[in-house]
Amino acid sequence: MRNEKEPNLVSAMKTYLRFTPCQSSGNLDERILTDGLAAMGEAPYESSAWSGWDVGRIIMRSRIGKLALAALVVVSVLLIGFPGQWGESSAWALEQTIEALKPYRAAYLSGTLMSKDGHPTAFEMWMRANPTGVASQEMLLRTTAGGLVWVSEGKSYQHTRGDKTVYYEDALTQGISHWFGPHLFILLGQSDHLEVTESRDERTLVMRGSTINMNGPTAWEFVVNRDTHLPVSVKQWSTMDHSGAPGFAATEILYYDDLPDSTFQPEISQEVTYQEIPPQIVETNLSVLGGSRFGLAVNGRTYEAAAQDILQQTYEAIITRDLDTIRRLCPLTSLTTDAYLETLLLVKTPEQAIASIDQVGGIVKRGHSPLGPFVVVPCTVTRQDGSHWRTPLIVQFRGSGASESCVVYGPYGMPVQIIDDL
Amino acid sequence: MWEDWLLIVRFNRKDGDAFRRIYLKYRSDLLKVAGALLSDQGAAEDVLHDVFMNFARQAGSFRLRSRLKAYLAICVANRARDVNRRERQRRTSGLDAVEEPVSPQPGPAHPLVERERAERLAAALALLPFEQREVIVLHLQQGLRFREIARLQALSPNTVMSRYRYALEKLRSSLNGEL
Repeated sequence: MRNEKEPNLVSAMKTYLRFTPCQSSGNLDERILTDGLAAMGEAPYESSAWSGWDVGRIIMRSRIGKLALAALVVVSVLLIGFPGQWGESSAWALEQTIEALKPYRAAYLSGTLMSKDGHPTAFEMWMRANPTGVASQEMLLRTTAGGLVWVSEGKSYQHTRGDKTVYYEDALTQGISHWFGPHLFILLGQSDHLEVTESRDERTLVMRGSTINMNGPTAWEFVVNRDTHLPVSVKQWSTMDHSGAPGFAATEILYYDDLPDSTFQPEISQEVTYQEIPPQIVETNLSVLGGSRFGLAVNGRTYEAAAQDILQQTYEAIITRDLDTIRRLCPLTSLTTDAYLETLLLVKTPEQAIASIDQVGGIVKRGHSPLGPFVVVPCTVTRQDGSHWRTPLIVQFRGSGASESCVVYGPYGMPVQIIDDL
Repeated sequence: MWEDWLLIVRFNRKDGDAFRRIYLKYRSDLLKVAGALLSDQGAAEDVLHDVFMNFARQAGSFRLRSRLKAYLAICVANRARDVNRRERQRRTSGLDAVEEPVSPQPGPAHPLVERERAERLAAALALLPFEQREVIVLHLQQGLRFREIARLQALSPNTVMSRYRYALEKLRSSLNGEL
């Protein structure tokens, strides 16, 4: 008798409580938002807000950079895959697009970039895949405002027409790595909210989704031709819900078997000088990196030996999914939930999971933050799919003498796939 | 979850828009929690105000260790408990020493439940001791899991489940099999 009644009671109470009309006085929102914003302003900073790897921080400082980054995240390798599910029709549409993109190794996109201050600028962009068809090997983006951004041989460059300096970083800091092709769509297919809907234009379908990459939340929309199954336009938002104006809107996409090398040669005056932008550690992250409960004691070793040791231990922890050790060695990860950390570091797609550590190299760069010296050490790993990837990582040293220790800050730029020359 | 995590990242950068979005996203749910736990709409709004003020003061150092919705709902429940306790003390220290149950407020018509039935449910809910009403509201209205409630309130899951079980017994008794 009791068991028969209880579901009714629970169900009735649930309906009553959940759907009770919510009333509030007219000025409640204003009162809370006004007072809340004032209280926020007075709150002290205690630790870093951003706990992810901060790639793109340097290029974001320039006007070109802001524009370029908006474009480049479209092809970011660091799409954090969700083990999401989607309907059969969505999966089918995605499969068709993946198949349709396979023959093409190069593409041209044109459209509009929106700067952070809301000014649209027209752009055109050429891209070409590497021999595996997984990563972008070359890219050049030109804006009508005179901005020029390109990636070549693992370096990222930016220049403004009329300037005498080309700034570059010795890493893929602009977020570009994945080729605008099948593999990107496989990754996009893992986003949590992929949906395929009818378009007003009966010749096209609309594929929408959202995901998170190193640049934050990203929502995207591809319009796909029903006949060719190729994307004909793409938009991207810096939100998860497609709200606001898209930061990137390519209204024309052309596909090529290949493009000549000259396409990717930027027109730069011979008189320009090249200036490297050194790696930096974001100031707001320093308080977390300095935490005494993190890190590995240097114990009188050289910086190189200590850095190699902590990176070896970090990768071993990633492979064995030892979250506590990862958090102890990489302080920024201590701010994340287990689920986020697992997705961020451990599982992108199963075949992308790290299988083994090939090599932890020697120091290639040095820098200095208010905490002390830091070094950049390249690491090479093999993923489950057999591919080899190189990622330079920053190791920060703190303290001195017997109390000196080091922590892993994060990668300096995107991982670069190593292609075997046979 | 992901959206909340990112909102918190921005909130910790003291991004006012992130605070506004968090508030607007959860305002209605939280006001429902406060409204179901307190007799007075004005008091419920004050609770919401206090919770968001405390939350805003953590900008720059806030660490999300659970679902944001669960965290905020528990904050509302805790604050409502304080308000309820103060109100009870005020009553017991005054001339009228008899504790009065929370009296349901007449509100607008319920969209899914007949008025008479809604009043009976509200009255039965109001007769519950606060900690039992709290579990009913957090679990049935907000969908919080018992373990979640237990962890955020530093209670054992068994305690929370017992409160829920006792609450159902009392509700059943109050409603006298009318459902």
